[in-house]
Amino acid sequence: VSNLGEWILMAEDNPSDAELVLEALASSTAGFDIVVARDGVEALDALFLRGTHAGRAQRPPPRLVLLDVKLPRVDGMSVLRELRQDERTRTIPVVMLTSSNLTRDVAEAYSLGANSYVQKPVEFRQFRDTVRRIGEYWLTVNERAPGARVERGRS
Amino acid sequence: MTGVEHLDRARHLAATLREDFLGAMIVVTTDGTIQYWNDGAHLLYGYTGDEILGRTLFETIVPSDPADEKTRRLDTATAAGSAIYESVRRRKDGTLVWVDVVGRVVSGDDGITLIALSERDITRIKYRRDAQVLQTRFREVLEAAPDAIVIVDESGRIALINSETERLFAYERNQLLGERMEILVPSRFHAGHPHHRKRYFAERQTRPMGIGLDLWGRRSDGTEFPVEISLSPLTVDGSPLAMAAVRDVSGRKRIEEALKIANEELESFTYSVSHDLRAPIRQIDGFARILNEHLDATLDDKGRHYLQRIQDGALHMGRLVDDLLHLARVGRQSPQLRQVALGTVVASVIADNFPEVPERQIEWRVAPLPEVRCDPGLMKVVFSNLLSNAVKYTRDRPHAIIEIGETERDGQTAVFVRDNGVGFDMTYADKLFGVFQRLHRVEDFEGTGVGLATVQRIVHKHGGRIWAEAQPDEGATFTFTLGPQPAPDGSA
Repeated sequence: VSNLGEWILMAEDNPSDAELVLEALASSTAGFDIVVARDGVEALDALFLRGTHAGRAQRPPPRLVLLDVKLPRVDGMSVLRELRQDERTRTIPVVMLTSSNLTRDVAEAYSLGANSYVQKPVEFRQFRDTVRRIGEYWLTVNERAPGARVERGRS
Repeated sequence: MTGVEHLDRARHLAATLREDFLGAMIVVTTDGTIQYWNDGAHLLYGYTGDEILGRTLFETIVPSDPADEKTRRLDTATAAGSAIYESVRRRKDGTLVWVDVVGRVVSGDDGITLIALSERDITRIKYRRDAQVLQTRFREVLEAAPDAIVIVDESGRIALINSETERLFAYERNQLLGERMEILVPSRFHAGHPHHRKRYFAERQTRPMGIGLDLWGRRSDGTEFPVEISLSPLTVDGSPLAMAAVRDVSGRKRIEEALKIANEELESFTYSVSHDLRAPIRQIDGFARILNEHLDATLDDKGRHYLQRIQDGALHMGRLVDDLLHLARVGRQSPQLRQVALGTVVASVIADNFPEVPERQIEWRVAPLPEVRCDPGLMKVVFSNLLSNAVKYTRDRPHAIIEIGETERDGQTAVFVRDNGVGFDMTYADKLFGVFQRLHRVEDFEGTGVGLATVQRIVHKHGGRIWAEAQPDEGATFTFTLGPQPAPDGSA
C-alpha cells in the first residue's frame, strides 16, 4: 500500500516535544509526511492551504491531526472547532495530545468533536509507547471515513 | 362684627371641618352594610365611596372572624347605644391597620337603625405602647444578644427591636415600631415576603431563614448589606410573634470573596505547573534515553551511569509535580459525602495496589471496619497512601504485618493503620504531615514527601484529625477520625 501524498498534521509549539513525537512516531508512520505547525494559525493554514501554505499543490486532507491544547496565537480548541465546522475536514481523526488533563479541557475537547484525548506521559518510555500506539491505531487499525474530503453528510 | 355673627361663622366652620377632624367616618346599617363613606375613610382604607357603598364591612375592611366583630362590636353598640373600642382593619392593599373606633347608634323615625363609626388610625401609637410593655419584660435578654433582634407580629409589623437593630439598620427605635418590617428589606424581595411570613406563622418553628439564599438587609439610607437570619416563634399574651435574629455577614462575605479569588489564582497556577513543568521533564528524560540508544555501542559503564542519573532526576521531578498537582486538586475539591463501608475501600485498595509478590511476605490483618459518611474517592487516596507507606517501611522485615482496624478517640470513630516497619523518632512527628517533609533519606526509602500532606488535607476536609505514633525500629501507627458522624438511625 502506498502512502504517497498522505500526511499527518502535528500542532505543537514546543520544538523539543515535536522532536520527541516525531521520534516516537517514526516506526508507525513510514511513508507519511509529517507537517509540524508551531501554532494554531499555522495549523489552520496547513489544513486549508492558506497563508504560507497557499501556494502548495492541492492535496487531500491529513489522515490524522495531533493537536496540543495550549498553542500560541490560536489555541488548540479553536483549531478543533474550525476543523469540525468545515465539510472538507470534519471527519479527520483528531487526537488531543497535551500536557493538561484538566477536566474542563477534556470535556471541551470532546464536546468540540475530538476523537481522543491523551495526556503526554512524563516518562519518555511511556510517552513513546503511547504515541506509537496512537499512530498505529489511527493510521492502520482504524477505518477512515469514505471520501473524507468530498461534500457529503451535510445535514 | 357682633358676637352673634362670630357664633354663626364658628358653627359653619365646625360643620364643614367636622369630618376632617374626625378622620374616617362610616355609617352602616345594623347588618354592616355601608351607607356613608367619607374622604377620611377613603384616605385611611384606600376604597373610594363608589367602590364600597352598599357592600358590608365584613367583606371589605374587617379582616377576619366577621362573626366576632358583628356580635361583639356592632351588636353591643346597637344594644348600648354607643361603644368605644380598638379593632383591626384591612386596607384595600391588604395591609392591616389598628384603629380606635367610636360608634354611635341612631334610630330613625322610619324604624331603620344606623350606626355611625368614627375610626382613627392608632397603629403607630399601639405598637409603641405594646413595645414598651414587651420591652420591660425582654429588655435585658434582647440587649444582651449580639444580633439585631426584630420581633414581628402576624401582620408583619415591627413590635420590638433592640439597640443593635438601631445601629445596624441606622434607624431610631420610634421610626421602626409599628412599621411594616419590609422597611428593613431591599424592595426586590418585597413581592414574595408576605407569603413567606404567612407560611412561617403557620409552621412556627425555629429555623434559619432562606437556607442557601442570598439574604440582604437595607439601612435607612438605602444601602444594603448581606445578612444571615434565624427565626424563632414567640407567644406573648396569646399573640403569635416571630423573632428574627439578624447578623451582618459582610465581613465574612468579603473574606469568602478574597478566598475565591485566591483559589482561582491557585487553579491557574497549578494549570501552568501541569502544562509547563511537565514538558521539560519529559524532554530531559526523552533525550537522555534517545542519547543512550544512540550511543549504545560506544557508551561505557560510567557514561551509562551518568545518563541513568539524569533520567532518575527527571523522573523524580515528574513524580513531585504529579504529587503536588494531586495535592492541589484534593485541596480544591469539596468532599462528596455518602455512606461508605470502609472495609470495601480497604479491600479494593489492597487488591489494586498490592498484589502478592514472591519477594515480599506481607500479612494483612484487616479487622471489620465501620460504615462512615465520607467521600469514597478521597478515602481511597487516604488508604492508598497509608498502606503504601506501611508496605514501603516494612520492606526490610522478613515477615511484615500490616493491621487496619477501628478504634475510638474523644467519642469519635477512628481508623488506624499499624505496621511493624522501621518506624521513626517521635521528636520529628510534627514534620510528618508537612509538604516535602521526609523523615528518611531518599536512598533508604524513596518518596516525594507529599503523600501524608495529601492524606492530612483529606482528613481535615472531612472535619477529622490524623496523628501518628511510632518508635524507631518498632513500627508506626497512623490513626485518623472523620469528624462527627450522624446518629446510627440516620436522623441527623
